[in-house]
Amino acid sequence: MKLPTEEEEKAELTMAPMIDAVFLLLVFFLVATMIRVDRKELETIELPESRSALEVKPDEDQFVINIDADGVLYLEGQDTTLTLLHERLRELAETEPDRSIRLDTDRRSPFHRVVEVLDALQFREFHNVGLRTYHERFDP
Amino acid sequence: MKHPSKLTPMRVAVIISIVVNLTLLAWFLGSDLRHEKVVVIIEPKPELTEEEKNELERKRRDRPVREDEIERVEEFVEKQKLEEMQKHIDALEETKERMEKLVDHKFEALEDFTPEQMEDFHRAAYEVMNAQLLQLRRDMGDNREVIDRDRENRSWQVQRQLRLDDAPEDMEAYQEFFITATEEAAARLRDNPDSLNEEEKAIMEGFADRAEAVADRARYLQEKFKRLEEEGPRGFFEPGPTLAELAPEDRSDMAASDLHEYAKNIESALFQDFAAHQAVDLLSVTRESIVDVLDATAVSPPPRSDLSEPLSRGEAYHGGIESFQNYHQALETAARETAQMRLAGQGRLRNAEARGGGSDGERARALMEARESATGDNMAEGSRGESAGGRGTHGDGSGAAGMGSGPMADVLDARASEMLQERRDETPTLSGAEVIRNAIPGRRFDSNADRQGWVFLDTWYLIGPWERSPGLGFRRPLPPEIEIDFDSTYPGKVVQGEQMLLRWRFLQSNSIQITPYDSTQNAVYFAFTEVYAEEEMDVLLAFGADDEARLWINDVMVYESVGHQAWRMDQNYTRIHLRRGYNSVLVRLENGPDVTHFSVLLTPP
Repeated sequence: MKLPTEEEEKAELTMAPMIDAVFLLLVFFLVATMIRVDRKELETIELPESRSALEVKPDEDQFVINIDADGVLYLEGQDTTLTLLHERLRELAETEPDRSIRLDTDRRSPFHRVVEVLDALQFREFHNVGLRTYHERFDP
Repeated sequence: MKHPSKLTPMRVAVIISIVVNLTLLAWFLGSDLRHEKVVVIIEPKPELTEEEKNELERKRRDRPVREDEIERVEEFVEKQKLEEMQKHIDALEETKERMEKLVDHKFEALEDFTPEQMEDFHRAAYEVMNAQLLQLRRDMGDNREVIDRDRENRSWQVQRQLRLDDAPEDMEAYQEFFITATEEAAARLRDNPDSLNEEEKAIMEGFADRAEAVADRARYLQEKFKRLEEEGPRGFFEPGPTLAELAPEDRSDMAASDLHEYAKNIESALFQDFAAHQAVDLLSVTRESIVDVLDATAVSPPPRSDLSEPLSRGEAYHGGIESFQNYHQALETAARETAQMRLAGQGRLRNAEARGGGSDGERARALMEARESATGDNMAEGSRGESAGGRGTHGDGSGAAGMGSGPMADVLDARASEMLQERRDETPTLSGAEVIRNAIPGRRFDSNADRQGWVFLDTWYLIGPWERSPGLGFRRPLPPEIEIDFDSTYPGKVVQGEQMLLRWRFLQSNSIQITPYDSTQNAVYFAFTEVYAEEEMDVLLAFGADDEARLWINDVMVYESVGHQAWRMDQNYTRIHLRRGYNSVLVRLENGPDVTHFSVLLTPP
């Protein structure tokens, strides 16, 4: 009987499974990136168009207020009421006065509602407020 | 021979290097690339000509739509929306159950009324009716000329029957008499208006409308008292039907329209529960009359859509793309409204729990006492309308000059006079055009603000009109005095036979003078706003209103005026104390004839 020599018993690293694993990892991250969605966004909102808006990177920490075409308010994409919005802004002004605020309004939102929310933000002294707009290049 | 796959140090290094690099690449790609990705990968689409766009649109529109295709998409969307609605209804049901428990607890704590109390209640209701009738008669007196001209139509004779002297003492008989007389008067006024010109007709029709409104109220109270005698407090305050009465056996298979309707019923019952809870709470902690309590706590759920037709499933499936879109939109509305109902219900529950959280309505008691009190911080040092001629007292209208003499001098306490004196030389007085030109809008008082002089409050939430109860005036509390809830709706004044549904509305004015929405005569309005003070401070407040008004700062009444008067911005000066942070400002306006306005100006230290 042939006994295994010392040389044959040495551990070996095969390349193929490792490359498989690395590629799987790569695919996983790619897919995870693709499916990452903005949960604060409201699907039903048609943003107003703007050619002069500044292009900024998405910010997950932004506090998002949505106003739909009927003037109904949402907070971070979730249903809310006017009283709750005021309460929330009041809390936020006390705890995180520098928090960045994003206003997602529909192009048909009643203007008085937008003014009402902007006034509430101004009264609570939020300085970092942005109005999100549509650009065909970035929101196809 | 050397084995080809032998692990040499070089190979290990290469492998590690590959692994590290690939991991880094994967990590980099895994970061938030939404922005970069779209910029790099997606090139802007080539611009289409107008013709091409039209062609594309035409093709899209004319594309034959297969029924089974619609059905598949619709089933998927419908399933999603139904699940969403069911989730909201679960929460709404839970809220309703908790509200029912709170209401039961309240009614258990409320003992049955004694015969003496019942007698008091009847008397209170009688007083309410009398006050309204009295005002009606007073207004008619003001327009005697018009009414006299209408004598030929015999309506005046009918109006004369409404004199208080002729009215029977017994509540029920009185109400019967009143209802008959006012209805007859209203009918006659409407049927024979030929002898009047347009303006006179409008006046007479106004009387007829009000007479009808008073008659309706008499009928309503009559029904309420009947129930009070037969069923006790529960019958009078009428909490909504219970969930057990409303709930279907199984709602898992219910259609969207039925679910929406069911949610509406729960919401309506929940609001009834809340009103009853609030009324009993207020009754048990204050000395308000039972009728006033009923008025002060009346609240209605917000109006919801009637979706039974657009949510009819059959048509959506067989009516083509347009029908499909309508159905889809109705589903969206149903889901959204159900979510709003859940939030509205939870808001009511939160308020009820907060109210019941103290020792049996401690907050309500504190609030009512504070609002009625004349000893709050602000009242103690400020000039008080009540004690100082604010009740129907007018200055001479010349601002600071007017304050030194005449009744206005009484309005100012020593400290406020001193503050005014200090400012007289350095800032404009409230003498009209100059102030209007110089006053700036604002609601914040920061130490580093460069503003000097008067600041007018320009941003308000307004609500009204409620029917005014002359004779009772401020004694009749209304819902905003008990709680400020921007999402609530309330039954308001009856205008042209229809009861208005009131909700808070936002107003930003570029003028010092604020006019409420739907301004009408014999009506009550409320205005609410907040003022921010960076530090605790005293400020001088100039308040003006047409006609009667009350003003609260941080729930403490600082001014009250009684009697018909024209608006002047310097009607009253009061020194008020602002606490650090946000301060609430609430105005109650009672309008008699014509229009109503008010203004609030503040001057920082």
